[in-house]
Amino acid sequence: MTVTKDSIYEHINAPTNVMKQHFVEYFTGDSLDTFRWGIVSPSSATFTATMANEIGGGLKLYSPSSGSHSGCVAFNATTTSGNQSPMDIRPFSHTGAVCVFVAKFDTYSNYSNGDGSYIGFARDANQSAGGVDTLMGGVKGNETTFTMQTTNAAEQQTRHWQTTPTADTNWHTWRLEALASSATMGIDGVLLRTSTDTLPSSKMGICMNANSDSSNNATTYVRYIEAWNT
Amino acid sequence: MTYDSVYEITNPLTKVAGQRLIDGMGSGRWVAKIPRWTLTYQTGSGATIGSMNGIDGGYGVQTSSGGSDRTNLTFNNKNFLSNTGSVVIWTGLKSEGSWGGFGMAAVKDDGFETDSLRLEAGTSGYIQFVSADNNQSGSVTQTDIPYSNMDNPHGEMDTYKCEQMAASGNGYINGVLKATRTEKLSRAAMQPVAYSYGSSERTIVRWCEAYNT
Repeated sequence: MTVTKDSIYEHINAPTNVMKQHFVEYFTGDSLDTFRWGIVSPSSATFTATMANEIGGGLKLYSPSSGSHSGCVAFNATTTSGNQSPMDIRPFSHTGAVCVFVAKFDTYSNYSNGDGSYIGFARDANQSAGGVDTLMGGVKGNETTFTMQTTNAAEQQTRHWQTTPTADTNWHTWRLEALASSATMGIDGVLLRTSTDTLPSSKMGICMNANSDSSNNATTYVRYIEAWNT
Repeated sequence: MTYDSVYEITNPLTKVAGQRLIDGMGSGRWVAKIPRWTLTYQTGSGATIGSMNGIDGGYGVQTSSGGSDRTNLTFNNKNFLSNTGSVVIWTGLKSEGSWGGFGMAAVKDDGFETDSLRLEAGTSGYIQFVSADNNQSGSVTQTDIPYSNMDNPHGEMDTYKCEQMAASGNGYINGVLKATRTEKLSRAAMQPVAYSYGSSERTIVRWCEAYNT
């Protein structure tokens, strides 16, 4: 039965609760909303982030095989070269935040072995693996399954947590959750991975990156992303 | 009961959501160009309106002074809506005078005569539900709502919903099914569109939601 309420607010918050930071991006329109998003890639890069002219396509992150190919889209001022550390705007808590996104990745082997393509929470606007303090989901060139990436600034370590399902090229709904003492990742409503170490340790923004390998083009599509503090 | 996320209002997490747009148009400081949207002055030079400064005012587009001038609000041919399963919902009105309308279409600057589905009104008769295929030959089913209900003197905006399916299209006004089209249906992907036609004619919109089903 359809439940009608006076507001979207009341669909996701009891009216007696004060809503925390919450954003929804549909990636639909004639171009990327550059009031919200910035693109980071090397000055010589041919990385592009454009709206796909395809049914249900969303945002298209294209990382070609040649040249300086990596790049990311994040909550930062547009920068044409290098990474931005930390990202300009980081409204999400590393001890209580959720990110839901709908994305489609390329064949995993088209991405670089070291960096791949990841979407989710990050401290830095980083064109490769997301930098320090991350909780992201995606694919990696040398992993046959989808992976959850967590990074901790103090440990100076990034972990790539493999999951059971093979990394396919279909659309999926991802859910990441950062908690005080753990981090989780689920796909299509199924919890796949929980980590209790190498957890992010500072506030984070949203980052989506793609990094192809040297012999294949790689394209990542994102049609929806939502994040909120819990 | 509350949902965990906006996503889950329309989709369980076990279902991958199709592409969707929700835009509360006019809720911002936009003068002319509005994020995500492209203004195309198909004929004439157009006129700058932007966000209306009024309670529930919405966002306005206007034509210039030529009698055949036309201003279209589109996604610059970034066509994400499926011609076999999609919906667009507009809340809006047009100024009294020539033509205006709301719907979805494949081409931003051909008068929406190619691959489109729209509810529109002119200066007489009734609001009409129009579908067009790729032969640039739209066909019309009249609703029972007088054309003047889309006009500004009517005083209120109304909600126009166009639903495109594989073998038919439905047109709703304020939640009531008013017309169905089964011929001359779109054969290509489309984008949300609203337009104004005539001399200094204005179309105002304050909500657009569009999604694949």
